[in-house]
Amino acid sequence: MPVSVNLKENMEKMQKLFERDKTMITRKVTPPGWPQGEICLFFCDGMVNSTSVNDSIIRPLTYMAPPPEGADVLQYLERSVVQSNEARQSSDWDDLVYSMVYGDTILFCEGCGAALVLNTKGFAMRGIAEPDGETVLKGPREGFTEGILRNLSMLRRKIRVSELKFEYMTLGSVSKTVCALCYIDGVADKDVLCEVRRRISQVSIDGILDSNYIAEMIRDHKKSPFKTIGTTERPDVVAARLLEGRVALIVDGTPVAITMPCVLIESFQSSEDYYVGFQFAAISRILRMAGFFLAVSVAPVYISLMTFHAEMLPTSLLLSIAAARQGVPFPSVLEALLLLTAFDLLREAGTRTPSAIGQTLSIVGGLVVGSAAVEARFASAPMVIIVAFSGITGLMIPKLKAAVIFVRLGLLALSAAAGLYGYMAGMAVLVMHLASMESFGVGMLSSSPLSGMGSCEDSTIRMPFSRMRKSGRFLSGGGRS
Amino acid sequence: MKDAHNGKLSGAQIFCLLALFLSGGVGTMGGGGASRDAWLLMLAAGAAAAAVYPVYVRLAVPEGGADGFERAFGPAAGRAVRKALGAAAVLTAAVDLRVFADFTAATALPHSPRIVIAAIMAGVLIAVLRAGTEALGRAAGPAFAVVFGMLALSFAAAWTQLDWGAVLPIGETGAFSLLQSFVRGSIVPFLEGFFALWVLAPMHNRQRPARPAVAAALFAGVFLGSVLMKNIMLLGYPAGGRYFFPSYTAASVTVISEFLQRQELLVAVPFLMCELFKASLCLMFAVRALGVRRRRLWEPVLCAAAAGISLLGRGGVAEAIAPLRFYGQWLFLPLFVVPAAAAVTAALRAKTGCNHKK
Amino acid sequence: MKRMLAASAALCMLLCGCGDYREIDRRDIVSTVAADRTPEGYKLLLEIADMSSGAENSPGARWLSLEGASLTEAVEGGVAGTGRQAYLGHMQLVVVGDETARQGLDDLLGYLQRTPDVHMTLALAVAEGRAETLLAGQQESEAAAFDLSRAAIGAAQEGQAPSMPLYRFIADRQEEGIEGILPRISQENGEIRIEGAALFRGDKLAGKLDPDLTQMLLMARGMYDSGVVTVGEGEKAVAYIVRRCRARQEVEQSGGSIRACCTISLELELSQGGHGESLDEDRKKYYESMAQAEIERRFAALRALLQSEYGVDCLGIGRHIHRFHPSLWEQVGEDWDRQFMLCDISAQVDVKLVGSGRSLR
Repeated sequence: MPVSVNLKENMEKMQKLFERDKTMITRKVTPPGWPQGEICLFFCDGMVNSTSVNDSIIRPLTYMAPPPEGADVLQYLERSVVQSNEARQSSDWDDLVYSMVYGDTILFCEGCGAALVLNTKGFAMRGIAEPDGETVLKGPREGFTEGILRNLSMLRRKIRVSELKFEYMTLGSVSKTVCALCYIDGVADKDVLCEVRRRISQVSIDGILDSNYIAEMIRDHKKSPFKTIGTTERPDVVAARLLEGRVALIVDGTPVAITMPCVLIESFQSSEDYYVGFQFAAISRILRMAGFFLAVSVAPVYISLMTFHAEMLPTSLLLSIAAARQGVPFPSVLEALLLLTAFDLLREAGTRTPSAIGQTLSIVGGLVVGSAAVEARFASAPMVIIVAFSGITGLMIPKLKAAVIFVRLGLLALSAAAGLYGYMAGMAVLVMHLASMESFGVGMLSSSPLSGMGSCEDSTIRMPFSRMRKSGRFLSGGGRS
Repeated sequence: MKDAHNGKLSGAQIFCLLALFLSGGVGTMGGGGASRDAWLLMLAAGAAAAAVYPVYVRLAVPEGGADGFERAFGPAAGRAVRKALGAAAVLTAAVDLRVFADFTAATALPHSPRIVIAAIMAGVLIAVLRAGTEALGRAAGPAFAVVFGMLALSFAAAWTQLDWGAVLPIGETGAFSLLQSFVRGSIVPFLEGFFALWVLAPMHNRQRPARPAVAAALFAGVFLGSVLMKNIMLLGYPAGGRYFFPSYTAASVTVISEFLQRQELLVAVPFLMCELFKASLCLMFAVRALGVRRRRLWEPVLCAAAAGISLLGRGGVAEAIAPLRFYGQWLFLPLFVVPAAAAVTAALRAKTGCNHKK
Repeated sequence: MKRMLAASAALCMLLCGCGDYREIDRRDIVSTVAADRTPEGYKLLLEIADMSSGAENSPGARWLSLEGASLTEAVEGGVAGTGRQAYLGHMQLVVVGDETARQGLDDLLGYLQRTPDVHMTLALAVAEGRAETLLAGQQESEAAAFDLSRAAIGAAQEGQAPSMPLYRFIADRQEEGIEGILPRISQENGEIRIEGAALFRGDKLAGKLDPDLTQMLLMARGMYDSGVVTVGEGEKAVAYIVRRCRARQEVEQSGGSIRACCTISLELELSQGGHGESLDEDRKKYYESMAQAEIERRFAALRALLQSEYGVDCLGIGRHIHRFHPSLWEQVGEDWDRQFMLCDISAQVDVKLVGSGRSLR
């Protein structure tokens, strides 16, 4: 329904739309000599910058000279009176309502079949801080916030070329969330870009509150615990991925940006790898990969060796473990399951509780409960060590947290059934699953030693920058210099 | 997602895949009555296979939309031959699974029901077939490094315990006996490479798959020959030939230190991985050869069929190994004679066709 | 499909109650077995590691006596009495009584070969008298578990007894032209002594050697890595530490008879004797010739025993012929037991004195 030329009708409609909503403010201004009588402003309290409203809109309106005879009143107001940095006309009520709830001020005028949308956004936002889950010892400490414009500005500061494109789109039939598709024209893979656009266009949901809503709907292999879409809260990481030819999607209301495509090796990379020496980066990366392998393997292999292949353990070690297990009533696999569950419960509880209590909880859970369990013969000391080690190594790679839990459980089940042969069968299935996975047409194992595609300059280890010529070329349409 | 069977494989990936396929029998080779000269026969088998594989490749790569059998015998007869070979491939996969199930039963899991082991293997095979040939190719590189790295490590660890004179005297049993062993045992794993090449050759990204195939045959011949030689030098002869899984036993007697003993895992892991690659490629061949349309339906069926066949027949390892002695003989016909006949016939037909055109 | 997989995984977990899943604390970890044949079958005495006794770093031992018509019956039947399964995966030593050894070891070897748990590198030994009696002495002295197997390993390392793991003995047992040897265990005044060798013809005990001749045999077979050679007795005894020992065999046929020569190269270090004298060239040659003469004397004694008294080719001359002279083996192989006794076997001993430790005199 278009805007009416009758100001009173427009006011009634607006008030009816925001009936019982006290945050919707109506401000009438009667400029001296204004031929059309009143001008009415609508804005949402708390979403606007009051100073901007007062100084850029109300003050100029009250001081303005009347428009020339026969002039377009609305255009006169837009171009010669109001002093906001952004102003446009709109006659679509949906657009007007959407803009107003997002912090714009709507100006209605008698006799005009459209309204002015004036940029007065000034809602409160969180300050820029380093993301908790992606801290670094060296390097930038910026992190995305909930405001899309601020996030895009951080990205723009990192890549200062006109080829950096932001394609805006609105997703969510009710939430009308603003999203921006970011890519570097000429560097981003065109096929990936087209595919991303196609999938996003098929997203149909009422509300988008986080980028994960979109990610889950557009990702490949929706049921796999391994992610096929990358996430990050750091603008430097997004910039680096854009430079490699990836595409990023920034969603208003969340600091988490998503990047596509995502390959497995990204889960083991950290932004800090690029801010410290390549030798230390290599060690760190190898440790993370080893950590993942140990996290999924230590408990199943221990169960296999203890219950099926005890002859493979050195005699002295076997005797120690056998002595420690004396009197424990549970089978080893059940013991492992219970301890792993307890570890995950403690971890989850530690995440949810306030930090003041969290530390105490860790001490209680780790020392007291663990020690008490061993002394009470509910669990054996070697199993507590194995589970603790497995749990800690699993926390080394936060991006693969879910995958570690599922894979470890599966391998534990197979080990309980067939010992090391079951474990090996499980690992074979895991490797084949990863080898068959793709992310927007790019293999998950690309740019890793497991693939002929891409290169290994930035996979298991990071080469010095002077020698890293081909990194990401499999994604980048053009070569990198 | 693009069709995983229409992707491309590099020469290195084909080499790795084929080498792993050929090593699928590493666990049992040298056992079941094999002679002292088994290692020498393996070297000869590798060299012989290197000569035969270009023929296999020629047959496998389609020309004008027809494969080698269709070009040789005509569309209908060619398809029939291919389907028969598809059935043979399922049988080979079943033998593979049977050997592995008996291996696990004999070495570590004597009380576990064989059906459980077969079911686990079948599940893995289904996952592999679903993943596709290209995914298998991606996994081949690291699998190759793990398998042959572990076998090399096993060899190095046993170095000080080797009795180098144990392989002597050479040729003691006579030429006829050697030829019999060659046909029945040594060349069989290499002839089975036909199934793998049929799947892999058309997927080579440079259209020159013969090179990696020949290289893999020679590599496998040398490597497996050295494994057999190591087994004899470690376990002695005829004692070494009387173990069902001599490589496994050889690894179990390797002592690196008091702390590091019983390193059978160094052989069991490569064995499992090679068997997996072998069975997967055989079943992939069967899927293509039998001309199934609905892969997602038929792949689990063929895997289940192979697992089911592997469970047929009672008894333990002795009963499993005994038929294998004849398995080699009757596999020789379809995997050597038929492709050779097809290659010759196709060549003659092509020549006749050229002459007509002139 | 996914639900089926999840259900299968859950089922796998439940299967941990059957099949080969065994908790280690439900098993008896056997360290040593003494085996003796009885008119009814076999009698075994198992030394089991007992975690609840013993010192912190070495568990105590518990003893279990089993009987059965066969080895398998004896071992598997143990669970009926104790409720715990005997676990042979870490068994390190099997001691066989000499009478049982005389009757043949093929039964025992076959059982050990077939059992998947058994470590093929475990040591075999022949006891003087009944093995059970010898091991019972360990029980009375409250020895820790694995003590005896450690002693056997130590004796082998010092060259006092052969190091003959199970797989090696089986290989020698089955190969043509060589007979197996095993270490001997005896008990004197309550003390266990592992020294000397038991000689076999096939799988049957055929003779024994004292420690000196055992050392000689190991040198001749190239199985001797280190040890001590003592020449003379009392104050005039001269002791040498063997740093390196290499052996080589050469065989030739001349005029219908077989001549075999064992070349033994030794690098020795003077350990005891010759004090107060400087080790110049002459003194070196003196000690070298002394050692050489002693080795040659021992070899002659060994040869006489092997050829004349026992008639067992433990030197491996036949194996050497089989490997390097197959055509000759075709002539003599069928009848090698007799042919061996007619061989002209000699030794060429090369001794090199490499030093006298850290003292010049």
